Amino acid sequence: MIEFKNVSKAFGDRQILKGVSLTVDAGKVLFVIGKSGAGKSVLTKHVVGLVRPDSGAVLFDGVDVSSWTEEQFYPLRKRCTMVLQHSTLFDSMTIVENVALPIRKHRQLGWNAALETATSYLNDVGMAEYAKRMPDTLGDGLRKRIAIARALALQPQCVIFDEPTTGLDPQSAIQVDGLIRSLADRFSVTCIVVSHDLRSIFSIADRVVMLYQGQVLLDGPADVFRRSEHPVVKQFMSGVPDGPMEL
Amino acid sequence: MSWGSFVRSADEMLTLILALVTGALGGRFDARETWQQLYLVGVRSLPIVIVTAIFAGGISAIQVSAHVVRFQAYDAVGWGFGFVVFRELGPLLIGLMFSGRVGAFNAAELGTMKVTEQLDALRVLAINPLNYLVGPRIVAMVVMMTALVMVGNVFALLGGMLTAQVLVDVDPMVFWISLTDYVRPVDLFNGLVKAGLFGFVIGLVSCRHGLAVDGGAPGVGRAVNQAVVASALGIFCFDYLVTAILP
Amino acid sequence: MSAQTRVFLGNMAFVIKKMMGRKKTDRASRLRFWSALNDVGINSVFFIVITLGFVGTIMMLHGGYQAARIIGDSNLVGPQILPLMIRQLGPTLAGLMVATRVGTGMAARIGSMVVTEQVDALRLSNACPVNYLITPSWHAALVMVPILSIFGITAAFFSGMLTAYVVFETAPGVYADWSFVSGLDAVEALIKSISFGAVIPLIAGTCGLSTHGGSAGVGRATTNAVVLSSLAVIILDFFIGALILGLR
Ligand SMILES: Nc1ncnc2c1ncn2[C@@H]1O[C@H](COP(=O)(O)OP(=O)(O)OP(=O)(O)O)[C@@H](O)[C@H]1O
Ligand SMILES: [Mg+2]
Repeated sequence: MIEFKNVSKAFGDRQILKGVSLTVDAGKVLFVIGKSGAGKSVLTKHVVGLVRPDSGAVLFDGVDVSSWTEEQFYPLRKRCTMVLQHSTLFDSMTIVENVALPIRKHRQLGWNAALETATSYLNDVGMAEYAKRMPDTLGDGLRKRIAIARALALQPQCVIFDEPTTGLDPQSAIQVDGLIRSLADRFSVTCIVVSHDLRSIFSIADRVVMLYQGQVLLDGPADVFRRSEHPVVKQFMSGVPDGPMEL
Repeated sequence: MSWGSFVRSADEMLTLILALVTGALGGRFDARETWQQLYLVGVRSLPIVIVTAIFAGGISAIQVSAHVVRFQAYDAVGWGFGFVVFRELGPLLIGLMFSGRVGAFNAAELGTMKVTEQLDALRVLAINPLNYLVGPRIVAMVVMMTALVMVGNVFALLGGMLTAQVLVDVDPMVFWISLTDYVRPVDLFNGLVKAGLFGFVIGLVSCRHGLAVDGGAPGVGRAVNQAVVASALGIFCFDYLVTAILP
Repeated sequence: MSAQTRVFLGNMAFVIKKMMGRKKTDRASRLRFWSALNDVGINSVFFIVITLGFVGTIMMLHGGYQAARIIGDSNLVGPQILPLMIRQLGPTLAGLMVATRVGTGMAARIGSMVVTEQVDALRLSNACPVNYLITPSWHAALVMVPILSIFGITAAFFSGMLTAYVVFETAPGVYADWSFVSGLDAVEALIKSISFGAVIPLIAGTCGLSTHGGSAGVGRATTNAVVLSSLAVIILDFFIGALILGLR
């Protein structure tokens, strides 16, 4: 279980998070939504130690990790990993090598066995045919799915997906949604999903948290958002440009 | 460079060295990546080192000959040449070229990985970039720089003999005898010690500047610039230290 | 010949043509020249004085130990290494340091401008990128590399003198014996440093203009700039040295 307690973070003189408190239930799918620049990526990066809070605490299974050293985070990252927003693949390796790398490093497998295992993970996201290609020859949607396969290859208990369906065609997006849902249902993996995708939110979220002006504006099941009378939430849900939301 | 930023970068460098020593002692450097880097560094720099060595040999033969012509001391050409090339000019020129080819490439590669978030991608996969990327590269540069100077010595000798014969008509046999009579194994050894140290300096400096990149493509260019400048200073500094300590 | 090599050579021909072409000098172009002088010259002086200072000490140590070992007297070393400093190590190492500092700097700057499309913006506003970005550095290097070499030689001379005095107890007057230095040595130094000044900005600028492909491309261009311009310095050193040796 992951818990944020009053987390604040500023870059320079720009205060991005102003006391965010939030609990993530184990084995559930939590969506973090909010407009661009709201600090969704910054918030979720706190969990894996890519960003450290200025004040407040991040608890992982009850242990405060906010003052851990980089070294201490490595064992934790095997259990809880993240798919970065830009789905960064390693340029110098083929697709299958990208996925095989964490397998070789963390599962005591030789390189050839790791490559084989990697192929089966690629199969799960429907990318096996691209195994031998280099990352820079693929578009964003395909890269995203490979990055997901690479993260799952760690067999983590918790995965943060930063905009997993942005840039995907509707069919692939539905496939990725299904994958996330089944991770939670079948393997009780905790999933934190950063997204703008209303369709995903309403189809797979157990709970949704909306960030606005550095704080949690609304927190509850997706239905709560649909019915909310809060003007900012209403504007976000309807996607219209004019409204009270500060841009 | 102001005093404050000098202290800061010295502090950063020490932290990096400390982390690397810990990684090396713990045997945590990635073995596969080390082999790969040995190969890549060798392939990348061998042609340029051979060309540099041949010309360095030629230049040394010309400059030594200019002296020798004045004193009519033709049997000293080999000695002067061997000493200058093996101990000084060979490692120095090959080191500067190596810094340009391998060091600059390395700073650019790590810098690009930094700005495209590939280093963060490694970290969230619980792979420590210091042990996976930096350590293997420095090991490869130390080993290959030493090996390349050995190879370079042979080609410099060829270039020198040829130049001495063509330009000042020194018989290769005379050249060889005066070389083997006066040049001691310790001179060769001294050059190889320098080579290894230059490799270390180039590796450390280029990795440090690569990791510190900030600000997109212009940042990468600046980092390469700073890396080669700092490496050159390091090379001359260690050259002096070795010369002063190991006469 | 690969496509990239062809592009590179094509660009180089273009750069040479533009650099040779007649252009009007106005206030703006004079300003660019002054700022290039500053970049090539003033900002490199410190770097070159430090590195060549090390070189003077290193040479004196080598020469001193060898002379002591073989002829038992290190007083003769000074006069022997002075010509070498002047005609070879001074200009060549100064050239290599300019290639390292200025060459990579130019390629990095121009390469970044290419990938961020600022060079295209220059073209669109009808300004020639070569005249804007390369020619000023080229003129500056032609002037400054010989001057930097003189600074470097001076630094090496004094650090050698200090080493001779401290380590080998050679009096400065004995060390600074110019009898073996000839006019030809000065000519060799001058020819070398002017040619280095001419080729380094040409190569580095061309590498910068030939950049393609984001931050990795800028890294490649910068690497190519330092490798190719250093190699040019070493090769020129060889041929000019051989030519002058023929005149001795
Ligand atoms: N390392 C950093 N240094 C400085 N500023 C940063 C850094 N990381 C994020 N920011 C700033 O923090 C703000 C929030 O960024 P964040 O990436 O969390 O937004 P987001 O909610 O994920 O939006 P998006 O939908 O665009 O991804 C942005 O304005 C960004 O510029
Ligand atoms: Mg984001």
